[in-house]
Amino acid sequence: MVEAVLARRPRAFEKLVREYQGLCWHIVQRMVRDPDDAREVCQNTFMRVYRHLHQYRFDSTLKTWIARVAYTAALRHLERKRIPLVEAADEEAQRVLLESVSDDVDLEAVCDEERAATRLRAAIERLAPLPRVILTLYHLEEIPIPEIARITGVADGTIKSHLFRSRLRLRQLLEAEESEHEPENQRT
Amino acid sequence: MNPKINEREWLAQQIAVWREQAAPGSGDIDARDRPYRLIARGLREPLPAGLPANFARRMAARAAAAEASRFEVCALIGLMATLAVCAVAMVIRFGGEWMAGPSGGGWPFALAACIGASWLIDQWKRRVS
Repeated sequence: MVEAVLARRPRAFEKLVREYQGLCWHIVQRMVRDPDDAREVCQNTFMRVYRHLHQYRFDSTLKTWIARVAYTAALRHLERKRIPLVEAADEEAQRVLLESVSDDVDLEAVCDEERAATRLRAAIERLAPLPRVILTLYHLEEIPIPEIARITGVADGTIKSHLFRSRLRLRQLLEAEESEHEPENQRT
Repeated sequence: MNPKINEREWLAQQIAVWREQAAPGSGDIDARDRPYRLIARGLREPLPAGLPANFARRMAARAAAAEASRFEVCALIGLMATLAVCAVAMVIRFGGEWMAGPSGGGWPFALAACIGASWLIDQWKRRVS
């Protein structure tokens, strides 16, 4: 596919865009959030891909290379808008978070799955851009941690730490919200 | 192991991910797995499509337009370079004749007079405006 695009074969670039636009959207949308801005960043991403594809050296998969271009474009957008990529790390807050999650809370037993999914989506939106995109790359795109490290330029250990903390936080947020609604559920 | 990661909790998270990948949306879930299975399931949900249906075609058209515009810029640079080379060649070839011509080396003065006149007109225009 790369050779076809570089040879400027008809429809080759269109095919490439169609294949990777989902990946690009997942990365950019998770980081940028505003739909109009995200669409613009996606356009810039593919124009950069078109202009710089000759620099692709086949030392990673094309998916990883395009994901890196999309991540960099989204990162520049966040820098221009002065939006922080991560929240300040607080080990004490993490310890409290770890202690607050309970082993015996049965989420599905206390709420229906649809409601939990809605709450989960809202909780994901409350995360900072970097953990949000790491979760998406790992869970939705099923990209392994070393590849995510290549895309984001963040160390493997830090990726793992973001995954761990974000999932712990999501669990805590869901459990906190469910325990708020538990008396109501028990009444019904 | 990363010291900031609790090994037991990390393992619980990963087991939920693997089980959700192996049997997505499975109803028969171990109670201890449920919170992280639910999270893993939610995180695997595709995001709502945000790009227009014809996005790929539009991008291809935009790339083709950029390619055409790059060709125009390259052609312009090429023509300018050819013109400059021709001008230098003409000066080398006929420069001596111009200097020793009937006007007797008046060309440099004529050139300087042209540049000076242009500069003066430009200054005058700026003052007037």
